[in-house]
Amino acid sequence: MMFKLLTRTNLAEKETEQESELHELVPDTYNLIPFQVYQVGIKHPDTWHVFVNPSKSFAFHDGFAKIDRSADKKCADQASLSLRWAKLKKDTNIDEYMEEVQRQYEKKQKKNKKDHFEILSIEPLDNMPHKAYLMYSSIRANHSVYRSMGQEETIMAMQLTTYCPVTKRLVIANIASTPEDFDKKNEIYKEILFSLTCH
Amino acid sequence: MKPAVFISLGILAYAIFIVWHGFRSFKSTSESSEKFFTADRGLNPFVLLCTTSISVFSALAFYGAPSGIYKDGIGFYSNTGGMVAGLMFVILGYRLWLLGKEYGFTTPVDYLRSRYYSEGYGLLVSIVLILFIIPYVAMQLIAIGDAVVVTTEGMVPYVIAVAVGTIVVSLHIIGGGMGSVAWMDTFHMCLGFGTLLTLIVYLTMHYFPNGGFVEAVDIMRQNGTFDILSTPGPNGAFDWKGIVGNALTGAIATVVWPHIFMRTFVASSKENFRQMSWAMPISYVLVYTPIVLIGAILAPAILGAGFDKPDNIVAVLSTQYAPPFIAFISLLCLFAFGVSTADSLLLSASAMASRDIYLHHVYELKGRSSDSKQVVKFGRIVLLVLMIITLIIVAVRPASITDYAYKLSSPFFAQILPATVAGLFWKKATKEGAIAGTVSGLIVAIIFTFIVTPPLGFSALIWALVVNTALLVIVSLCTKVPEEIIAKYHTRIDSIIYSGAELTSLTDATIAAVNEK
Repeated sequence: MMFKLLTRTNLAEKETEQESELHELVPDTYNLIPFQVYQVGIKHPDTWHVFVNPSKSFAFHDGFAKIDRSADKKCADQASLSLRWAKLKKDTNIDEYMEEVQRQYEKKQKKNKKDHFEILSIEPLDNMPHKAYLMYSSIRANHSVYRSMGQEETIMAMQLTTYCPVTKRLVIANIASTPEDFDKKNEIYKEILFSLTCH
Repeated sequence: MKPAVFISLGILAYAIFIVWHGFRSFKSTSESSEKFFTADRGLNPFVLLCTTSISVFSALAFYGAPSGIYKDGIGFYSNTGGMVAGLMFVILGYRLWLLGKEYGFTTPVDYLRSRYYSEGYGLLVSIVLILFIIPYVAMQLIAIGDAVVVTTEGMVPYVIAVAVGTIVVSLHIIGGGMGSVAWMDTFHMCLGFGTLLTLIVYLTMHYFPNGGFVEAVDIMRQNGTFDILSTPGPNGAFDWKGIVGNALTGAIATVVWPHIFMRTFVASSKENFRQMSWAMPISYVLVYTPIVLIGAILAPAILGAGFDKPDNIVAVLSTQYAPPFIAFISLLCLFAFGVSTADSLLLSASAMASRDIYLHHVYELKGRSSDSKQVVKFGRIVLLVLMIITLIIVAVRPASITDYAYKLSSPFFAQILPATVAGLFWKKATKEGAIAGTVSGLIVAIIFTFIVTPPLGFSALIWALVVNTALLVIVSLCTKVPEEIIAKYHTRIDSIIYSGAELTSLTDATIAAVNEK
């Protein structure tokens, strides 16, 4: 009886059931589907999962969501898409934000001398509804607490940042993956980021 | 001014300071549950070290360890095996921290419920932990209350002392949450260590002016207490089995105490864990060694053999063998150890009761949403309720219930250790295995604590952990863990999480910096 009571709700089985159905129906290709929340939208591969961190704010004025398939070991694709939106306390020029990003990378690099944080390029975008920037960056870090016990790993990130004057929110979409993965899928990742909508 | 009046005024000033410290951040901690329960996962290394180290030491360590050594000898010192907690904190803590950042875990229940995909298991763990936190907190406050009565020579009655103690500790947490608790713990760490040294220096210089510890040990040779400095000690308690059992008890259980467990989620960066691996054992030894010196050398040399109230040796030394100022210092030291443990435990009980039981079962599972401010409000209401329950317990002092619960709390808290470790490092650990292991561990702990003497000289805690681990492994091997869980807690943590978390924190830091301009 006790055992039954304790095993009554099996969260994972519920999720796994849905997941296996999805795998059967959808082939392992990049079929992009829309995800939208609080007027922030983006297209992502239909095989990727949405992860919402319950401890972080998830509201119109401030929110964060992650969409990726890195949980599936069989899938070579380890990319992770994150969406971040936030109302800033004052009307901020997006250029100010981009300058601050660079300062934060420098600060992070100074603090973590053994890791490597670098902004590779920042370019303005003309084909977006609002002023936007596409930024490439690279992080070289070690998973382990002790460097000698772990492997160095390089992660590339492609980030699209825009400021929506309609909703007065900063909206950021970011894809992180290995450099090799970026070499192969740069265009599809760009397509994902450029599908970002903010109102 | 009469010494009792001076001490009472000192206690009052200390109480006002603590409440003020908590409430100065009331407004900012009301904004989000992350801030209230995890200090925005941003504690700096020194604060994290101090809050973790001092939270390990309770008021009972300050009073209990010297009396344990006085009664059973220096072998008792082996529970500095707890210093291994530093290593455990790194091995378990870093992975827990990563998972906490990614999936928003705040409490042990958050993690265990999710990793073992069972609401029932989560509920069982939360009820057990909360039930046994309250008597443990009550014991801290009772120790403080008793000491205040002795030190003020009865001028402050027991009921007033424990009522003030309980209200002050509760208000401090209600006001400032984890951030306030951590900073106050840092203050208490410095206060506790400083007052311990003052007490030892005074007793040594005053009673052994011609040789210090050497003179004290010479006196011990003559007064029949010298065997305290040997193993297995006066009562033969610390042969090799006793020493191993004592060391293991301190070493393996500490990290999964709910308030210590919660501290794995509040580190600001990976570097914190690297620093903790060497700093925590050092701080452990630094604090524990003076406590040991009192029980192993100062008390036997000053009080002699056969002291009839060995449990009170610290209180007696500081009140009857020292001037009022030293008595007050000693009381502050007790406050430092007692308050730091009580506030941390109460905060963890509040987090589990409000988030893991009430909000999770009443809101989340029914598809209702609650905002972050509401969570903090619930947490504060729960703290008020816990304060009232604790007040009743410390005022009424139901000896048998409190004693039984206290004896069981350490072995009971430890029963989440096998499930925690297996959940982090063993892909095959299943819900059925975790439930079977934990429930059997709890049963074995009860049997060997109250009914049967544990065999082979090992403690109830050790036997309970052995049975717990064995059943967890056997049942897990006979059952199957869903692929989804393996992916979420094992595959994913080794891939994108760490770097992803770095990118997220860079974005958050940029937004915060722009907002601050």
